Amino acid sequence: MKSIKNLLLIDDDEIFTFLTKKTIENTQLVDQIKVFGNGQDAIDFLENAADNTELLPEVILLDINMPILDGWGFLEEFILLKPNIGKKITIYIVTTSISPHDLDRANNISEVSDFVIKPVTKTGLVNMLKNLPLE
Amino acid sequence: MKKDSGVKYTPLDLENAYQQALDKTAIVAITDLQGRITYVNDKFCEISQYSREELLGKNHNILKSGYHSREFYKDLWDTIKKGEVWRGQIRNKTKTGGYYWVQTTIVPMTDENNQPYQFLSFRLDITKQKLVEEQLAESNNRLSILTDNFPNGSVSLIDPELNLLFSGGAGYDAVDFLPEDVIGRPLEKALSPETYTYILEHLPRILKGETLTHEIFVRNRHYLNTYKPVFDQSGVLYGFVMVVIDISESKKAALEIQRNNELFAIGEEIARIGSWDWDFLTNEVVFSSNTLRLLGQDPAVVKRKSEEVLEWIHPDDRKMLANAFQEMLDKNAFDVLEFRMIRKDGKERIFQSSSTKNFPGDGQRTHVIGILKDITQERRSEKELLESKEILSNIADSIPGLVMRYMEFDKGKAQIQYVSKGAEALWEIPKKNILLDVNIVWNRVHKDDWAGFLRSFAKSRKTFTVWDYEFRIVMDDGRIKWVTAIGTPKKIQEDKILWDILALDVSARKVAEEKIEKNLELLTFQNTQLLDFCNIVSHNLRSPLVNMAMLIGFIEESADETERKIYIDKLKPVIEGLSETFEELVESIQIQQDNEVSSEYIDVEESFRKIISGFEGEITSSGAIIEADFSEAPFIYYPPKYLSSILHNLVSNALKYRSMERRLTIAIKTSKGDRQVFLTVRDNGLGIDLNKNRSNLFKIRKVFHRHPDAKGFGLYITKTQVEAMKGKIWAESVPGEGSTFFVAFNNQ
Repeated sequence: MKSIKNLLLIDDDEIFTFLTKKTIENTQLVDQIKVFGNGQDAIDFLENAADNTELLPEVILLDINMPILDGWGFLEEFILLKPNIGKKITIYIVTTSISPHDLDRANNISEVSDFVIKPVTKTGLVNMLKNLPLE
Repeated sequence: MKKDSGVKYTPLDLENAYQQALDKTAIVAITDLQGRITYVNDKFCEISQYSREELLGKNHNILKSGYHSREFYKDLWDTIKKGEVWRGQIRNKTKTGGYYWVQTTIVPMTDENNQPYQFLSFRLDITKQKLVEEQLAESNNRLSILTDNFPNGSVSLIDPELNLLFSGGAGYDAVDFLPEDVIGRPLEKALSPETYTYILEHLPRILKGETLTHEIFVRNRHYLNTYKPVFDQSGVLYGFVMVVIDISESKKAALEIQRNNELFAIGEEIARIGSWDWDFLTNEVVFSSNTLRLLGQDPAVVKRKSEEVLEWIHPDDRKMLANAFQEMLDKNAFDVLEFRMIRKDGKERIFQSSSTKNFPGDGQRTHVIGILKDITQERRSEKELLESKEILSNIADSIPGLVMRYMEFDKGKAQIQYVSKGAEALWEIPKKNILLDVNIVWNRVHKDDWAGFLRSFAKSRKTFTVWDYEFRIVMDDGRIKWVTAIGTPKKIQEDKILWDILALDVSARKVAEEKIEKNLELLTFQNTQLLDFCNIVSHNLRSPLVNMAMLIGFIEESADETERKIYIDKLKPVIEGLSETFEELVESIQIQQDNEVSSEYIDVEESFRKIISGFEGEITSSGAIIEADFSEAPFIYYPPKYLSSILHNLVSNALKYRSMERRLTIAIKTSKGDRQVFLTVRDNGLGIDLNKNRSNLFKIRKVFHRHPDAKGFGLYITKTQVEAMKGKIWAESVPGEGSTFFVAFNNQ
């Protein structure tokens, strides 16, 4: 059995999600990968699956720059939702942003475990998925 | 003669003896109840100088001297008519008009009912005694009058044993006791120890008959004391008189004269004044020593010959002085003269001489006296003051601005005391006009600056602090100058303020400042755009690059040709997207850099109609209602290309993000502001949650709707086009109800 059952990939960039999904599948570390094109869709999913640990992800890879609800907006909603979620979820920000301002902002949100700048290599992904922070 | 009851039982011989004795010593008379004389003895006749026949039957009042009052006689009669004995002293008149004093006893003789029926009077002659008494009283009175009015001192009579027999005088006003307190007591009690000591020391000489005088200073006053022995008629010394005279006032006056002379001399010296007295008969001048000191001459030799004095006068002024003096003597009118004199050390000094005639009693003129004043210092100071005033005025005139001093009175009136030449150039008003009325200066103040000007000026006037204000002045031809003014108010009187005002032309600086301000604005704006650009690079350019890099990595690793084909196919849209973004960026940068783009007055209605025609298909298919009202501001001064683009984007968004639940209405209108035109585009479409998206609303590649055509470029380019022309764009929106976009076009 794989160590990660569910992983959410939240990014509006179709090329990136296609390639990343493929890379993760190749690592054989994740059972199921769900892709959402914006923050709002992901929040809607989490809200519905809040009491279903089978569906809830262990890991979220989150883009910042997205339509409708961007990464920051998602994190705000997620913090509100968190008390109702019966599972520990590790969130990585995966973004093209090289702005120090964005890095600072991410560091100030305790729900964010790491800030990863694209592109993400296969090795990088394996490290992220194998070294999930402990409870 | 009737017998009274008291002697009824006395033997007759004894009675006769009594009567004889009485007749010999006393003046006896009997009167009836009305006062008529019924009996007089010889003594009565003798003293009154009337014969018995003349007196009998007459009323006793023929002897009345008129000395006593009516009350005196009333008392007498009231007493005896009651049957009581009256005693008293009466002054009576003799037949020849002389008078005599009698000690009188009147005994009423009463009947069985105790009613008086006649009066018996016994009188003793006391005239001599009375006379002495009167003389003594008179003498005492006179002495008192003398002593009480004795000015500035006292007179005292002292016996050889040094008892004070008598004393008086105004000098007692100065001490805290009265003559009565010391008369009859030892002298020691009444005198100062100093005076008493002197008397003790000199008593033998006084008692030998010497008259002594000495001055003494006691109780802060000067006294002159004189001691003169007094002898009675037989030449026996019975004491001495001490006369004390307070000479403090005269002493002080003498001292004052002395002091005044000293002060006068000091005054002369301090005031650089001297006096002179020219006797033109003897041709001599008498100088005060200070005059000589002022002239550097020997102050001890006060009398000089006229010829010598003439030598001291500056050669150039001699003739003038001589003429002036002659004229003054002729006209008998003396004036102030100013001339130069040469000191003995050769130094030249300027003097002022005021003189006046001095006539001896009969009016024959013999000399002129005068005051000589060294005014060299004053003249020098005046000259320096004049020079420094001139320098200041020159400086003030050379300032390229307004320098002004004026007195402001209550009720806003003002009197100008000085205006610099520079005022003419700056204010473009002739100096003489400004001098007439200060309001001419302030009338130039720009109307938009007037309120602030008045406020700051009033504050300064109220608090007496420096007035500092920058304002515009408007020239006759409408040109505007920027002026910075500094004014200091000085309170002269309750309702008088002296203003010193300096105003300088700062138009050039103002222009520079405005330029800097503009540049700063531009820089800030560009800085924001740069930050935006950084974000664009970060998100919108890096993303496709990252994707390309990843795809190439996959292509390189892939062994399967089909798989590689898939990756290569995926590269295409990435590159297309990148190039699209790139083109958009170039376009926005072009707008930002397009300084040359020129504005013109655009008929909004016309421009709008063209845009609507481009959307006709969409409007028809969606059944949208367009409400346009440009009546309030039919024209916008703007680059036509930008305005079309702005209108196009806003209308396009409204159409694109319409709600499927209701019929779309787009309301477009223009309105006027202060040199601004506002464009409002309101729709009843999907709306945007501004709480989440406000900061991203106008950013590139930000989309807020799940609409396939949402690219996040329209509002970004609109904002760029608005801001490029210094305008502003903002929005209000409620999700599910609609959005309103506002555009402010500036500099209209």
